[in-house]
Amino acid sequence: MRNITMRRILHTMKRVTNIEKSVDFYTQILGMKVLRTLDQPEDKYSLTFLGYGDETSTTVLELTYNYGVTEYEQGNAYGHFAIGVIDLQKMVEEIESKGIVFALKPTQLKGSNETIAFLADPDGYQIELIERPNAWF
Amino acid sequence: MIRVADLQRSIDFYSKIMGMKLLSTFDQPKDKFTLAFMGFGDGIDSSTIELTYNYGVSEYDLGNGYGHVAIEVEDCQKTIEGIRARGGNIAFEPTPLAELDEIIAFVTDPDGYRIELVQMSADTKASLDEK
Repeated sequence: MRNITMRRILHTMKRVTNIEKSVDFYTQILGMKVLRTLDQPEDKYSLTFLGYGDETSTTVLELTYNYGVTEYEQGNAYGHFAIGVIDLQKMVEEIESKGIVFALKPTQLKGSNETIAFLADPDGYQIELIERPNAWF
Repeated sequence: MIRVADLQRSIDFYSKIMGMKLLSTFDQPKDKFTLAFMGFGDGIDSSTIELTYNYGVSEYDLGNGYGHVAIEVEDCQKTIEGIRARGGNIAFEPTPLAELDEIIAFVTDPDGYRIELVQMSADTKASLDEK
């Protein structure tokens, strides 16, 4: 049964209540670029794709803004998405200097060479930053 | 990362129905959770899905904030037929999106999380490459 033709994870989507605020956060705080936007005024929503590379080679983030919706229920099922970074301590200091408070400061995981930190985006979605010294890049 | 109510059921779904590989697991009995990482590649050059199982938690509230994860496919219709044949649940049949020049479909996983399948046209891919 090798007719499975799927290839890769393209993006992950979350709904946001203030698209300008979210775009500012992901570009100015996390250093992503806006890759494309699609505004559908008739259907009252817009999509914004952000990421660190182009969509044909990297997994990106899709933000959906539904006109006029100011609140979503986060539930307790979805957790977070994670970003690999080269120097976590430095990145955390840079982000903190912009007034962002981390939910979890850089912490080395027990029995692992990973160091992780957590922060929340403007809608409260958790984002994990991970440094794996010898594995990546 | 998404939390799942039955880890084996989810691993079976993402591997046997969606075609991912189980890349690693991390069991932490003391703290009563297990992590499982699933993906199409090795998890170094490619993104993965992290499944968290908290011992004994059989239900989660999905909320309405988080949307979905999307997977690129070569042929949306063919992929959907394969998923259906393997017992997957199709939430939205393959449909062309004129404004994006894509064909998309949605599948739901055993916990109800939505997975989008996206078949991009060659033109769309080329335009995304240029950026």
